[in-house]
Amino acid sequence: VTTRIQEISRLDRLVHEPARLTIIAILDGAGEADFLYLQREGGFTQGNLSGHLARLEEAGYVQIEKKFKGKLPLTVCRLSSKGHAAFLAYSRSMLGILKPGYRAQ
Amino acid sequence: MKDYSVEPMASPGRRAAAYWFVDGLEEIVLGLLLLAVALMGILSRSLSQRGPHWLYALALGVGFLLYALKGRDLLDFLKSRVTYPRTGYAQPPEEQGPSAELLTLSLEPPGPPPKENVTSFGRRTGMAIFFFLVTPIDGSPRWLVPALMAALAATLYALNRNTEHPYRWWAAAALGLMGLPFLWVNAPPSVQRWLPLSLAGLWLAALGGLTLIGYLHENPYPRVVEGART
Repeated sequence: VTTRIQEISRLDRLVHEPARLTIIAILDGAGEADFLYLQREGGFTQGNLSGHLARLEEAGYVQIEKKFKGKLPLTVCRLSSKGHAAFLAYSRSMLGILKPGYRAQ
Repeated sequence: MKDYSVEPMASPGRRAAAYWFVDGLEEIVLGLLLLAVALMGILSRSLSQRGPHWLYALALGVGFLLYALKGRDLLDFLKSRVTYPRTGYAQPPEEQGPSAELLTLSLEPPGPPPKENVTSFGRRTGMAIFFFLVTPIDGSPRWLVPALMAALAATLYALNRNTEHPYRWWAAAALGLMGLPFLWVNAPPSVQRWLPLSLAGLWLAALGGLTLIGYLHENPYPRVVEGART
């Protein structure tokens, strides 16, 4: 139990927060998405999503690119390789921790 | 906002793949292409009663080549004006190759997890239409057109059932019943050959049109268009 708790305390808190985990999971599955799509899929308010995206971008987990689709400005977010690696590591840790009879390696 | 996803618990990748079809534009474009090809076939048949239908062959080749090469660009153009300002942009799904469906037995360590934002809608629909509708039916019995349409409807329903773009039973039934009037109505010979293709195109375009109307009704154009405000 102690090693399990130690492992939990070592989880990446930037990924562990539910709203950010939702954003990362969506971007990992979709490839790239804009603000409106993330807002709709995750059920976020504008301010909430904006704040979390800013934190993820600051950590280098998410890349935000401003471009055009047709004549409309479009701000597209995608998971960086660092963000993808962090998500993979987090998924592995969580799967390990939640496995019955867990032993830290 | 209405949730258009396949099912609430589908993975983010599958939800993104299903999102490509929320506006019906893919079906409208494919349906109109089929209608155009059928129209060219009818015209070609009317213009030259004998000899090879070179005009039709040319239209078929050019039409499908344009769709294959420029279809995504056209859909992107339409979606950037219709869909993305309303419900946002998600990366379009890649067309899934047949190799992804092959089962292999291997002792090699497992590779990376498979991509989930993929679709095989174009391939499935294209193959079904090719097998069922590019059938020579000149001088065939009247029941052939209704039978082909019913078979195509059943195939499309079954093929798409558990995918990112399933069809409702009533939509498939509508396609299946579209050939029924031709049990009694005798179509002119120049039209008969292209009837199934025209009906399939009409069905796709109408279904896409209905989807688009529903989508536009549910999602009015927002006052502020810009995407992220980070």
